[in-house]
Amino acid sequence: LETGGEVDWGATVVPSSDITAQEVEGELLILDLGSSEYYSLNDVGTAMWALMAEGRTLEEVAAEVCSRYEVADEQVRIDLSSLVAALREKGLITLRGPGGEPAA
Amino acid sequence: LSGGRRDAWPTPDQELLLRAALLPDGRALAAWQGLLTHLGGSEPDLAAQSLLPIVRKNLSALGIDDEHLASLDDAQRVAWASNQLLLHRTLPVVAELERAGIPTVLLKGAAFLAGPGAYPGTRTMGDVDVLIPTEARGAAIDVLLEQGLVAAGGAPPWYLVEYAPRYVPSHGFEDGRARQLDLHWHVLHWSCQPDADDDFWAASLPVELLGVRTRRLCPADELLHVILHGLRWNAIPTYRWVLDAGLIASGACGEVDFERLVAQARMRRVVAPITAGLEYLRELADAPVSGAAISDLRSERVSRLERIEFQAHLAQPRSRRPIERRTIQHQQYVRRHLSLGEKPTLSRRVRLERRRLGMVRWRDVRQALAGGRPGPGRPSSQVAAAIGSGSVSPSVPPIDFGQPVELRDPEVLRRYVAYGAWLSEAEGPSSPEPAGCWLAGREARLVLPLVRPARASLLLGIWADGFLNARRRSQRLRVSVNEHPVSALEIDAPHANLRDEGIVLPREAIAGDRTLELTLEMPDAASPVELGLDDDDREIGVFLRRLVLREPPRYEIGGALELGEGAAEGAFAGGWGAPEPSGRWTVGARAQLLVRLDGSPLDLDLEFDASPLVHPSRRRLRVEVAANQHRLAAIDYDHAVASCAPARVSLPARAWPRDGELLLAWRIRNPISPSALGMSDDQRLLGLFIRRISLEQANRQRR
Repeated sequence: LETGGEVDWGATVVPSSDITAQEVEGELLILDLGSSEYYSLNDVGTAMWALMAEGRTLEEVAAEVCSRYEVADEQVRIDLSSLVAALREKGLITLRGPGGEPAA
Repeated sequence: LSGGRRDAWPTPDQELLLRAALLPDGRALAAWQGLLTHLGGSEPDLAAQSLLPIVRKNLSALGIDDEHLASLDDAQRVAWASNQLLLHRTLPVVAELERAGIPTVLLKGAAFLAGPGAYPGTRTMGDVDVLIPTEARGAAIDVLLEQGLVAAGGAPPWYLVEYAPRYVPSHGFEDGRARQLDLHWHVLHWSCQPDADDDFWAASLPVELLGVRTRRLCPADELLHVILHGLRWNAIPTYRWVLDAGLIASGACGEVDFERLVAQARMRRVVAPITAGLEYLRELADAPVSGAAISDLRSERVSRLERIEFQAHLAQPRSRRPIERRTIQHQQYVRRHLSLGEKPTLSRRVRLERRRLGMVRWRDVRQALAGGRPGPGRPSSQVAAAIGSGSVSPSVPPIDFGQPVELRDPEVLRRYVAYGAWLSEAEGPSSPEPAGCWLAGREARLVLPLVRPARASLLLGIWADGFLNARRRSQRLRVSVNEHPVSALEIDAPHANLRDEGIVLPREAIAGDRTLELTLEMPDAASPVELGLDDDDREIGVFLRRLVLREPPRYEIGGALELGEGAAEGAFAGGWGAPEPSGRWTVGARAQLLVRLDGSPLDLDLEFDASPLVHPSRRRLRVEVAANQHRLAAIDYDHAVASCAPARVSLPARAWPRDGELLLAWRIRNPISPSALGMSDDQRLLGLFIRRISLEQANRQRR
C-alpha cells in the first residue's frame, strides 16, 4: 500500500482467488478457503469492500465513503489504509497499480 | 437437548428451540427464555448448534437482544464459514458427476442455499445431499472414488451397488479434507421402486450454486422429502427438519404447491407421516400450511399397516416390537414391488408376502407351518431367509467340470441352492442380484449334481466377497463337502474378496458320488445394523458370485507346467494371486497345486522357477516345500542373492501318491505385502512369484 512512505491511492484491490466473501446480516464475511479462517467487517468496512470489489481506486473509495458517511477525509484515509494493510497481511487481497502492474 | 429421546419427535426442550427459531412474535422470546431456564449453563448438542444461527436471526428481527443472544453472533459466522468450506470443497465433485454425464439434483441444505430465498447463515450443513438417477449409481460411485472420496463406514463397493439400493436411498462419502457428500440413488426411504423418482426429476428446477449447474426439487417435493426424512429415527437427532420444513412452507424456496404435496403423499402411500408432519408444523410453529391440504389428507383412508409402519419408523430400531419389524419388512417389500399409485389390495399383499417368504408353492407353506427346513444359521427375524427343502430335485441339469455356476442366474439358484441364499426383493424368492447372491445367516447349502461321478479329487474354485467394513475386519468361511470339512478360509479386509480361490475336494469325500452337497458356514454373519451401515437388521454371510468344479490336470513327467496366463486353472488349489503374463504370486501362508500323475513311483526332482518378495527392509524369506504332506525341503531366499536360479528339491518315490494325485504345497513363513514394504499399494500378503514347475526323473537329471 505504501511506497516509500506514500500510499498509492491510485491502486486498485484484487481479491485473492482463494477466498470467498458474502454479506450476511449487514456484515461482510470473508473466508480464506486455504486456511479455513474467516473474518468479518463492520458496516463501514463492508461498504469499503464493496467499492473496492467494483474495481475502484483507493482514492475513489475514500471519496465515496467520505460523502456517504459524512466523515472527515483524513479519518477515512486512515481507516481505509488500515483495512487494506490488514487484508494484505492476511493474504486476502493484492494491489494493482494504475497501469495494471502489481503494486508493492 | 437430546436427553430422554424415545422416538424421532422433538423433545420438549428441542421444541422450545424450534419455537424460538420459527415463531414470528413474542412467543419466540418466551420459548427462548424457557429454554435458557431449562438448560442452565449446559452445552447445546450438535443439532441444536446448527439451529442457533436462525434463532439469533429470528429474535434479532423481533428486536430482541440479550447477552445470551449476543453470544450467538459467532454461531452465524461459523455456520456461514463451515457451509462455504463444505460447498467449495464438495461442489466440484458434483460438477464432476455432471461432466461424466450423470445429472444431479441438490437436496436439503445445499438446495436451500441454491433457492431464491437463500440465507447463507441459516443453519449448518453436515454434508451435501446429491440425487443421481438410480441406474447411474455404479457410475456415480466410480466418479466419487476417482475424486478421492471413500464410502462412510467402510462399506464394501458391492454392498453399495448391489445391496444397499434396495433398502436405503443413499450412502455417505467423505475424505480427510472436509468433503462430505451423501449420494442419493433415491429421494425417499419410502419409495425405492425403479421409477420412484421419475416424478421428482420431471418437476425439478435448474439452479446454479458456486458456478455448478445442477437442479433442486420443486418446493412441494422438497417439503415432502424433508418431512419424511425427519420423521424417521436417526441416531443423530434430526429435529431440524421442523426448521427446514417451516422455512419451505413459508416460501423460502418458492411457493409450495400443496395440491401437489397431497397428490404425492397419496401416490406414495405416505399420507400418515405427511399429515402428522404438517399438523405438527402448524401447531408448533404456526407454519403457513394449507388447511385444505390437511383436510384432504385427513379424509384419506390410511391402512392399519401403514400406521404401524409409520410408528415403527419413528421408533429406535432396537426398541421396535416384532410386529413392527415384520410390518416394516412387509411394507418395504410391497412398496418396492408395486408401482407408484398401484393399490396394495389384500390379494396383492398375500401374493407378495408369499414371494417374500419363499412360499410361492403350497408345499413351501406346508414346510414353513411344519417348522420349515431352515438351516442352522437362519436369522430369527427372517422366516424367509433359509426356508427350503434341504435338497434339490434329482431331475435338475447336472453340472459339467469346468462349467461356471453363476449365482447371478435365477435358474441356478432355483436348481442348486437348498437353503441359505437371500431371497432377493427384486423378482421373488431365489432371485439373485446382478453379480451374484448374498447368503443369509450363518449357513447355506448347495446341492450340485455332476455329469459323471467324481473319480478323483476335484478342485472347487470360489468367487465371494466378505461383508466387511471398519467395524469388522475379517470373516470366516468354512466349506464342507458331503459333511467333510475341506477348507477354513479367512476373508480379511482390505483383501475382502475371494477370486477363484481353489479348494481341494478330496477323493475320500466325493469318490463315486454323482451329487455333491456343499455347505458354506459363515460364523461371523452380521447385519448392516451391527456394522453401523443402516437399520437393516437381517444377517448377511458373504456375497457369493461363482463356483467352478474342475478336475485337476494330468501332468506328464518331464513336461513343464506354466503358471502364468493360460495355465490350467484346475491345478490351483488355493493360495494364489491372479495370473500374470509370466507366472503368479503365492498369496497368504500357503499355496497349493494339484496334478494327476501317470505311471509307477519314481524318484523325482521338482524344479520351480520363482522369485521371492525380498527387500532391503525384509531381507530373507523362508519357504517350505511339501508334496502330499511330505516335507521335501526348506529354502531360504536372501535379498543379497537377487537373481534366483530355479530351485530344485528331491521328491522321493515314497512321496509318490498311491492314487496318482500329487498335491504340492509352498508354505511361506511370514508373507508380507508390498504395501507394508513401501513398494506399492498392493496389500496382498505375497511370498513367491512362481513362473513354472517341472518334474524330472531323478537319475535322468543326474545324467
